Amino acid sequence: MPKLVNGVIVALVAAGLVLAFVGSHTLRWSPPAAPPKWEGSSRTRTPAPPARKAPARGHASVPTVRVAGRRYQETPMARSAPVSVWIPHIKVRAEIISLGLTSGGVVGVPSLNTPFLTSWYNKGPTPGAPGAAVIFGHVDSAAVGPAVFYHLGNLRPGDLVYVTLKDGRTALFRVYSASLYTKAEFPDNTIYSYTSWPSLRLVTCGGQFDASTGHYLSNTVVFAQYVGQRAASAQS
Amino acid sequence: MRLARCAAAIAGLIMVVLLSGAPAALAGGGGPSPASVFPNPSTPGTSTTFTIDCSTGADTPCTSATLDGSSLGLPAQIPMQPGSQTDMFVATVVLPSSLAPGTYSPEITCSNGVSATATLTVNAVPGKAPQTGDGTTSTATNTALANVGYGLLGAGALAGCVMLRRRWSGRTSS
Repeated sequence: MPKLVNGVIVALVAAGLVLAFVGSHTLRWSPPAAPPKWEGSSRTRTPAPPARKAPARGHASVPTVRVAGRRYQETPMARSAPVSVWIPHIKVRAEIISLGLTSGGVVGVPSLNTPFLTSWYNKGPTPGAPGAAVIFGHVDSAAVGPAVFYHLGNLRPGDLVYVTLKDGRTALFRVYSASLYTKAEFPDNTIYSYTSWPSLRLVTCGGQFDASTGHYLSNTVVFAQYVGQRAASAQS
Repeated sequence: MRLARCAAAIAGLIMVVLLSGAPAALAGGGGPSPASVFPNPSTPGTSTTFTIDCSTGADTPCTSATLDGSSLGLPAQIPMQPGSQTDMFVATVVLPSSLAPGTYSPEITCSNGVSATATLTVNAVPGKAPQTGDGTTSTATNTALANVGYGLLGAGALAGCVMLRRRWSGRTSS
């Protein structure tokens, strides 16, 4: 009998030691996923949007395309602020707030206390209008752990992004590239430069975390190209 | 009194009409400005196209046109290429990435004397990468698991104490 009790005590202590050690030496969450290297993390490589097929000239006056069972008009949209974003592949459904530049010349991002909000850079074009619309979201936050764009690095070319605008219309985008850029080599021009066909960029943090500055050393950027628009009430 | 107010209102209206008409009149013969910019607004680093229609209506064909890029930090004499139509000239320039945001009015001059200013708005490109995360998922350790471990250690220690006491008390009583 005492032998059994001794055995139990030894087992308790051993298991306790192992769990305490493992628990305090492993991460509760895994660090955010980075886009694979082949997407081009190099500063010289600028992802090029895929060439667009000329819309078929049929009987319809407005060219349309069918994606995921719904019909989209292949025409750029009028300016209207975005209100929400839906990215099915990474199960993201988030509100979008409108932010400009801070006094320091850095683009505004939502507070870390509202880690599931995203923000649209309101000095640039609106999603679906000619030009490059840019949406930011946090990758993580002490309040919740993984935040709204934690899985952004898992997006791959072909994935769909839906942005709903204030006027009730939805803009559909298709991802064509995803890259990790160090903050020193953040490609401002590639991200913000005018594109004649509408485009979308989704930005969050990633790469190594620098505990001494409290910041990530890189940014994950997802590049998407406009597919088309549809009205809120329109049937397919 | 009423008459005076009415006269003032009319005068004001005339002023507004004159003021709003003035830039167009200066730019080129009373019509809309013959110069256009695309995209507008643009951003530093973006290739931007200036177009001018040098036609005068009279028989004065235009052979060349130049864009004054000095206000944009570009050469003062940028030759323009003939466009798709007669008397139409275009020039595509890359706006310097150091260009400050604001409104610019570079002048375009045609060889036949027509000149116009193209009004271009330049929007800011945020110069720095955003900070979008506080590192929680890269730094937070598995404290819940560790706490279970500490709990087991504590339980083991407690059970050990109880065992030892029992053993000792058993010895003294026998």
